[in-house]
Amino acid sequence: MHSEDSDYDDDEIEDLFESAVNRRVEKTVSRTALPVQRTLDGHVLPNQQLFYEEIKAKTSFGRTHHILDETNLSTYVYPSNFEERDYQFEIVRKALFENVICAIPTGTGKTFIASAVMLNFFRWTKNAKIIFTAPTRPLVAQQIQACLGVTGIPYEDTAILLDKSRKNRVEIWNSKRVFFTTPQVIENDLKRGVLNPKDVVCLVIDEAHRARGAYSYVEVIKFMDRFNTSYRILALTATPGADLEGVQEVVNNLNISRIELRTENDIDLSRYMKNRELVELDVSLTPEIEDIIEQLGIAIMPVLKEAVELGIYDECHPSQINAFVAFQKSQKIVANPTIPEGVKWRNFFILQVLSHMGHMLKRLKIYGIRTFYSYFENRHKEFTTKFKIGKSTNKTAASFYYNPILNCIMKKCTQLLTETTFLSHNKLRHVSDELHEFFKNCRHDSRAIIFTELRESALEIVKFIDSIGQNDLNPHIFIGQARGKDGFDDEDYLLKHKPKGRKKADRIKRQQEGLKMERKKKESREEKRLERLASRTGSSEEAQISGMNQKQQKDILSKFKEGVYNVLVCTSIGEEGLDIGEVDLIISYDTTSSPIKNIQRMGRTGRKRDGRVVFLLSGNESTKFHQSMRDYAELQSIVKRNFIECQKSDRILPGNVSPTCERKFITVGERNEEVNDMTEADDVIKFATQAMLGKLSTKRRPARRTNKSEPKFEKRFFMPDNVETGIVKASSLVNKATVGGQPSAQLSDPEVQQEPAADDFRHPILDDITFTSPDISPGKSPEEEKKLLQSPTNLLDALTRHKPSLHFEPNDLSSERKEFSSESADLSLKRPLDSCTSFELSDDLQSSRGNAPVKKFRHDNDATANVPRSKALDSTRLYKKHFKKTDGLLSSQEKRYFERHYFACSGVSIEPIPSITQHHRMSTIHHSSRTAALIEIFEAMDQNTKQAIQNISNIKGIAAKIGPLGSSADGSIGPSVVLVSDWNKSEVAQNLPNKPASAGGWHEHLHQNAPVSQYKPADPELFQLLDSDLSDF
Amino acid sequence: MSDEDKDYKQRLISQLKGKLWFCIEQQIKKELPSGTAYSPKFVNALVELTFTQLVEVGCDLEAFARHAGRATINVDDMMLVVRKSPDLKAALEQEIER
Repeated sequence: MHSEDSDYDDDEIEDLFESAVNRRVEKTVSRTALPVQRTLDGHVLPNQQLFYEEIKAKTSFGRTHHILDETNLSTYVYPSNFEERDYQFEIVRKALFENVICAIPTGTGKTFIASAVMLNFFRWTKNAKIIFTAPTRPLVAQQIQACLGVTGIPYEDTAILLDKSRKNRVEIWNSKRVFFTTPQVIENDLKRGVLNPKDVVCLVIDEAHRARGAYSYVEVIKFMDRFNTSYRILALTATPGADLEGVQEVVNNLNISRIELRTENDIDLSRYMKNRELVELDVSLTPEIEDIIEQLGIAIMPVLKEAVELGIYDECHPSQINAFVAFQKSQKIVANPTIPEGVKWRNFFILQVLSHMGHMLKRLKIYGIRTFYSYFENRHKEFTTKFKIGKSTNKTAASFYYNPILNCIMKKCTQLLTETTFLSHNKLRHVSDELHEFFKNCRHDSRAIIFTELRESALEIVKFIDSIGQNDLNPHIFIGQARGKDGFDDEDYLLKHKPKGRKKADRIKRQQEGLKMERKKKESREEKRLERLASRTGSSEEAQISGMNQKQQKDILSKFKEGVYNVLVCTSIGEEGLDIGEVDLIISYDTTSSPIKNIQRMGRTGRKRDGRVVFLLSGNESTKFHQSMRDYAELQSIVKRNFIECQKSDRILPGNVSPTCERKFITVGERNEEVNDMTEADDVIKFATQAMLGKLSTKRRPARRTNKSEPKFEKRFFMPDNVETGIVKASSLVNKATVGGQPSAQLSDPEVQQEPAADDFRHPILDDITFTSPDISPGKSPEEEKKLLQSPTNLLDALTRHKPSLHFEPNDLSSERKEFSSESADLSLKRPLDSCTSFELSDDLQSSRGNAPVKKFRHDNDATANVPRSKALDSTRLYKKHFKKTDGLLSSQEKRYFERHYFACSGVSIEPIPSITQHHRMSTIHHSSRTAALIEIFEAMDQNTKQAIQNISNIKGIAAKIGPLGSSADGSIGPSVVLVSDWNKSEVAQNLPNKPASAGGWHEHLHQNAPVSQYKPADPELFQLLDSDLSDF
Repeated sequence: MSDEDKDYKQRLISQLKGKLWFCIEQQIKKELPSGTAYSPKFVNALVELTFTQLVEVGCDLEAFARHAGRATINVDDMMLVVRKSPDLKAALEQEIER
């Protein structure tokens, strides 16, 4: 019908989005049938894949909506302020025209690449926005400095958006062009409607390996994609992913169309790499640790045994218990609904104990006794307290925690830990050696970073380094802002779970007690805090407990850069993006199996000069480390070989423009220079923020004042292009559906008038369509005409499918009215051909409007000519009936329309009912030979055929001949076993209780009686066989 | 299979059946209370049954031996055949021990 459907389904909405953005995707789907399993009566079994589908998508992009600066389009600028590196040049050239993920090692100038790309998009577009995103504030600050230092983009055009500057975002987004921010800010602003996604032309994503799952990066890209495809993405990372799936996910999420991967071994890159010395030290466990491991093993043994017996944990040596495995298994058990509750939780608690044990072992092996003990003590205290007051009745755990050997461990640990010179792990010794060596030989402005996963361990290292007592070593801890976990507080717990008194007095007493305790605790905490502050490493200790907020972090980092602290002990927070050029030594106190983490750790050194990386490996860390690094190298080689599937991206620039490179020394503005001299991230941020707010310019903008009085910013809703907005009445939608056809035109057609109303407006509509669609309108070019003349053959093809149905009807007719059946059948058969060939030719040049009636009249004539011949029939009825039959076919106009818009395969064809004859397939399953034989026997039993009787007597005769001899030799004949195997090599073994002699006798007997039994020794071999077999017995 | 073979086989079968008849008749005489009469037809039926059974057992034995990779049938194969009838098995085991 005329109107459009107003209710779209999801696909259509998706299409709308697709068509609204600048991308066109052509999909060709090719299906290949797969062999399927069918039931006996030929139906396809459900849940099978019927075909294999291959979808080829061809993406093309329209013109970009950004306003391009034509004067600058002919060139792209490559800053020559620094030494030109081939790989950078290469990557920049590609990144300008495609979405590139740039995976090059740390410290090789990713920021430079980003800057160059940003600069060019800044030049090429007039008002589009360029956004740089990095996951954390310090990283943003670092990049803003580097970027602007390279590109010389004026500060007036840039903005730095971090969470604090919330007030006048709208203004900022509208007035600036280059933005440095975190992805979260963009996500929020996009969703609030502050930032128009269509304005963005370039998006740089730092640390792109994070673009997985539902991270802001992913959300931002998803949101933008709905409105805008015309923007360039440049993703930067040192480590695109830990495995192939990870890399693919990142690539998919970021619409990447090319991966630029360089490793340290690549020739074009290794020239510029600073030398990084990798040292792996295998650290053995101290005898104390081994002792404790052994004792713990004894204590855990019963629990482990029980777990193994229950089949919930694999058998292993107690020292190999893995916390992670145990935890996973316990999770699986909890999630399994088929296990009865009681069993489930018993198993869960067993695994929990094992998991704790695993943690203890891990801490012991990797971090040392102190870390272990604090964990152990905590767990022990927690359990024993709970067990004592009956909150836990876990016998298994009790058997572990109340094992007498644990007392031994505890005693030993406390004793060891009180010794001041005690080293809780050999790694510490190595740390001190390394640091000694390092600071002896190095320049005094050198720094070292030590990485560890655990905060406790970090603190221990700090304390240890401090206790070495060298003045030139100033360690500090560097950790995230989360508060440290409180240990288990037994007093608090006891109080909470004490039986609650019923009387008011009881309650008051309880409250008072609680208050008293709190006060006491506060006091002691304060005391401890003061104590800590007194010690040299106080601030580290403090930090370990309360975490470090961003301000503290910045403070520490700046002090580290200044040299107040020269050893930084970091948890994973320090792994990414810290760009401190002077770090020359990295000590990795523990290793993870994540190659990304290891590489990021290594990447903290070797940035401006050669560095040294030391991995301290103990226990199974060595294998884990090597495995992960090997896997990663493997991954890199796979990625290089183009195994990742990429998407095509918008070129943005018009296809006919191919800018040439222009190397240019960028003169950095005075103000930018100023920034370059700043060393402090905070200063940079402050400066940038001020610049952004226009405070640097001398005149204060009065606009800000008026801004406040302005009405509140209205939320903008971003819509795809060409979308009708506003409220539309349902009635107006309904009206569209009614056809305002031309009644006069219809009335002029007497035949049509007689037709049922439903068919009425079909013809006018089609006529309208033919007129409106340009290539069918009367004024045709000769070329088109030719095409039209040829086209009927196509239609013929299409119609041949309909032929059967046409064929059918006349047959009906003919059976009733023999007189004119042949003619009418002829006519209706010819009709399709007729109308599309002859009419087409003759009527083509006539006005199409006149066409239909003319044709119809002709048929009237034909029909009326037929009528007189059929005498007996009611002429008018017949006339009408007959007319309708031919009229059901399309007019030439309609046909042409039909031909243009339909394909034979998409049409519906009516086919005669296929004659299906039913065949019954019968088959018999044969009996096994044995059953067949048995049946035969029983059938033969009833039939007294001559043959059977002869057979019986024959055999009986043979038996009678044997009889006397057998019975004479041995009075009784026991059970006999006759084995008859394959007839060709018949073997007869007789287990008669006869003596060999008698057997032989029987044999002879056979010989003698040969004529009687019609037995002739045709085969001497057989008799040999018989002989030998019989003589065996 | 040539005619000669068939002929030969036929004769061998009748020989074997004759032997079987003899054994079975002996057994019948022994087992039945004295004076009970039996028809040759009954004996014949019994013979045919036994014979069919034995052929089956023979085929099985051969198959077992071939499956074990041997060309000759031995005691193990027999034990395999009788694995489902414990009485028979016990009897055979006794026999082997002897």
